[in-house]
Amino acid sequence: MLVLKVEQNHIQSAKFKCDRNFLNVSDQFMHKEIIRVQQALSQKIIGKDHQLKLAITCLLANGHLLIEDLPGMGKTTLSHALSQVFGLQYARIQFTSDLLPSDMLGVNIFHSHESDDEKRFSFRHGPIFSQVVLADELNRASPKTQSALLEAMEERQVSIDGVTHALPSPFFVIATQNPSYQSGTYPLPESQLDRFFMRISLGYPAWEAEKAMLMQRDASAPLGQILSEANLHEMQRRVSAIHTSDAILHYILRLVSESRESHDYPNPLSPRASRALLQGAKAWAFVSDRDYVTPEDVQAVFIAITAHRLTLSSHSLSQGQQANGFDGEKLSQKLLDSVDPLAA
Amino acid sequence: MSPVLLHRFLPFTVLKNGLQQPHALAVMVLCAAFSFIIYTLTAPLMIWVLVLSGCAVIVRVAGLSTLHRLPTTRTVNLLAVLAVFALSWFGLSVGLLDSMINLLTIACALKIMLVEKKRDFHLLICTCLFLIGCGFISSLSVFAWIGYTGIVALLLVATAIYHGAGTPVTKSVKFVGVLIAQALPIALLLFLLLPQLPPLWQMPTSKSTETGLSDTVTPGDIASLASSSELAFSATFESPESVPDAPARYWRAMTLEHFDGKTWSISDKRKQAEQQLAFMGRSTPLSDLTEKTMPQATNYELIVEPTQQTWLFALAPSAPDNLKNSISVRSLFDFTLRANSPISSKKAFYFRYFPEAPITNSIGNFETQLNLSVSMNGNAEARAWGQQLAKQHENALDIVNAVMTEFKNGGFRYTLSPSAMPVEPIDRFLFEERAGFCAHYAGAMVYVLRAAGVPARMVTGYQGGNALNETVLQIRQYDAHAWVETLIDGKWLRYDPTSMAAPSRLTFGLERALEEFGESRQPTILSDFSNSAFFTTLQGWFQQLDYSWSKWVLGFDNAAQTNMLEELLGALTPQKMRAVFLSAIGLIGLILALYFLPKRHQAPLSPSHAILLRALEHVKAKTGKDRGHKTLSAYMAEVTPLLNKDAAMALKQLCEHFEHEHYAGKSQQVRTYAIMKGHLTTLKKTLK
Repeated sequence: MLVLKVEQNHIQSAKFKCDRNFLNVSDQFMHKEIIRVQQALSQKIIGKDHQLKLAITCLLANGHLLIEDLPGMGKTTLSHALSQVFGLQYARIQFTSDLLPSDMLGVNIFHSHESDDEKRFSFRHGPIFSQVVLADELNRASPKTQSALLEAMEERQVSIDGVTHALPSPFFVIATQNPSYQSGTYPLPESQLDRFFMRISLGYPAWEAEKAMLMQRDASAPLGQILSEANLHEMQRRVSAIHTSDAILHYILRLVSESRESHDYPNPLSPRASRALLQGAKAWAFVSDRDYVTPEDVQAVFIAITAHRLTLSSHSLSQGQQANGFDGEKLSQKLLDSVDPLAA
Repeated sequence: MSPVLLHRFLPFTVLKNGLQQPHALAVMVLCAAFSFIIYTLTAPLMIWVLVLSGCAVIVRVAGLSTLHRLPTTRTVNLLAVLAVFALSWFGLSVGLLDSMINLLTIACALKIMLVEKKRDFHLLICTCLFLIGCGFISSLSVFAWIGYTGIVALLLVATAIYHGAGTPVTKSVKFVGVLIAQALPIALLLFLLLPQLPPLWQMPTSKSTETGLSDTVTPGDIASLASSSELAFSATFESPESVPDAPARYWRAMTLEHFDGKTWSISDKRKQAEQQLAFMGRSTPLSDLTEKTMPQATNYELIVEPTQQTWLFALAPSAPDNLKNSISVRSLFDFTLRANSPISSKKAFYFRYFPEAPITNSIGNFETQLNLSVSMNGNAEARAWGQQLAKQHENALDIVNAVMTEFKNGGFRYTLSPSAMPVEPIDRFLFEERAGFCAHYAGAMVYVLRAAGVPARMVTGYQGGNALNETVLQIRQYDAHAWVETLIDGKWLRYDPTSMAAPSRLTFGLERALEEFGESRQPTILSDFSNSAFFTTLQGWFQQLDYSWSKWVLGFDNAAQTNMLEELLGALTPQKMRAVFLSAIGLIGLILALYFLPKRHQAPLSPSHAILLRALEHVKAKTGKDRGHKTLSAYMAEVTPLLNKDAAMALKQLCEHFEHEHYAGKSQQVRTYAIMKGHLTTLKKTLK
């Protein structure tokens, strides 16, 4: 049985009217809003501040997020909470092995019961036409469906029967993935992993955090909307305007070229990865309330952005190689450690 | 098959015997390299070793797929024991060097079936390199060099694939290419500038050698030589004018003065006399020849293919130029030349040719008597003819001319396949067959002349040579020849009876001479093809290439090196030599440094950056903490607790200003520089 659960989070009338005054608000104001967002999210996901900040960074950098974790770690909760605080329309698609691309993208339906004049095909939008799409357990779907989603992610539009339908903006996909050694999975190939801006993993909560979570009375209460769509657009615009010095660009270039020149990295970083690094570092600087990028910003997002790109996909890895440091995080950390941020 | 293709054909999964896919590919490339090496070593290897190696490669390649099982260590050990027994049995007949090459090959072949660990793989690569070294013993030609360079590259690619697990093959190939390109200039410097050391050990001389000539001639020997078109030596003259004309190209190797009725050989008496004269310290006539007395002298250089013998061939009379020769050459009293050690590899020799100098009777009566002795064993008819000639003519010259005329008009025929003449060979040749080759003619003539009382001897060597270009002659094995020298008025004069029967042998070479008598040297289907203009041009190119290689690369010995340096630097003093030596090493060091020092992607540091790094040096000296590759703030957090308050403050200020200028791009460089300099001074003070 195909399980399709679509939740619609109707955009409530925005608290903040989109007007000129608002667009000129100071950075100070923006940063306060970001802090409010972080606080709101940390009520839902307790003790994972770094991952939450990364998720916000990913959204601000206009990238798609891949969460790889065991079941029950809060992947769905995180994506749902994100859409709530940013006031975005939300849809969840549960991926199974028999999910077809049309289940996700939508179909043309023939209206036969209408009068003759109105008998025609109309397009029924699939769940992908939402601002936040949670692609749950992406690696359980067949490669065909996976690539339909990943194509939509890259193009930000969908073509069905020769008609192109633009996806809403902002368009943000949060995909979750079970660790690939679990049965019944179709691992994503390297080329498709590259499409995801970031990969994060929530992991088990700390003792205190889990205790706080258990003591929460009303865990399922929805979060209120904090930001409007216009706010988000403005923030994204400001992120692109963050100052990046030559020193930072060279640092990113050194990291990327080290991965290509050294023989330790079977999958060197692509230009798409270096662009993502720059964008991610800018967004991180913005979230950290700074209007320029420092090497620390690059380092903060580096592992999340590169780990899934550096690793070989699991099926071309033997067990031995996985143990021998072909694990993405380790490779990523090694690459980071081998390049001096202060070099000329 | 290219490695890239192999990559596609191989299964993608982990293979049964524990080798992962890139490793399997590496082993495959190694197998290919090994097969090539075996192919080049077919001459020294025994047939069963070849078969064993071939099987080992097939078993190994088959073992890469999951269907076939590789032999166990036990099986291979058993094979090894059997192979050792077989080798010790057969090894006796092939000599030490060849059996060692066989042993190495067997070891490689058996190991190839057992490659599992990294160590095995490296061992195999090294042994293969050693086998390539062995290959160079037998051939030093440019083609061998090209082939072996290719195989070495293949071995390197195998190693690169093995170690770069998972990296694409094209990348490994590229990597090896870059490595080789980097190694080239260093190799060139080492070759050109560093003194060449003599080898640390001597190779045992190979047993299977083919000599150009032998020191005994039983007519029949030289016929088999004529079919070999291998290069014997090439001669380079100073200018096109000094190249001798075709009829004068007699390369004298040795004088055969003893005849037992069948076989001509070097006389034992002559050998003894040579030894006695050398003991008495008498100088040979050749050493008296100098350029002052003989103004027509020309210098020339011979590049001699290995003969494993000491005799040398030269235009007579030629004196060795021992200042240039790497193997010293001595001259004998019969004007022949001997190297002091056997020529075991391609070598260059330098000679000075005196066209006007006569070959004199240098030992007097002894030489005359030696060359008048007639073997009374058979050949009575020829002796009778000789005695009759002596009666008819008074003058020795007339006798010689009479014999030559007889060869010209007596219906003699030149052939390389005469009928066998085991009994009374000279009589049969002169009066029945009247067909033979140079040794028959020369032998018969010497015999008749001696019987007539004219001292005569047989001389062997090479005659002719094809011009490779204006100044270079190439002499091949089929140019081997024998002729006659007679002693008239104290001078040895050269007569070539073969030229009477076949005049074109002298001017146009062997092939033309044979053609005239309806014979061909190589009656193959390829002869039409080899006559085509294209093939001839191609052959010419290859010969030219191989010649240049021998001359410029193999011929580049210590003497050539000294010459080159002298031309560049003038007279060589020990100081200069030392300077050259040290600068060569320095240059190599510099090149290595270029490759291995970390590359700087950037222009020099900005002033504020330099100040920051200096400040960090001070902090490191104080706290003992190395920044490594940490960021500035991470390092600050680490060292701040270890510093006093003022120093920490100054460092913080420094870092903030640096960040402001370097990353935020907000403040002016000049101003920040001044401020940072101030903070640096504070920091230094507070750290003390």
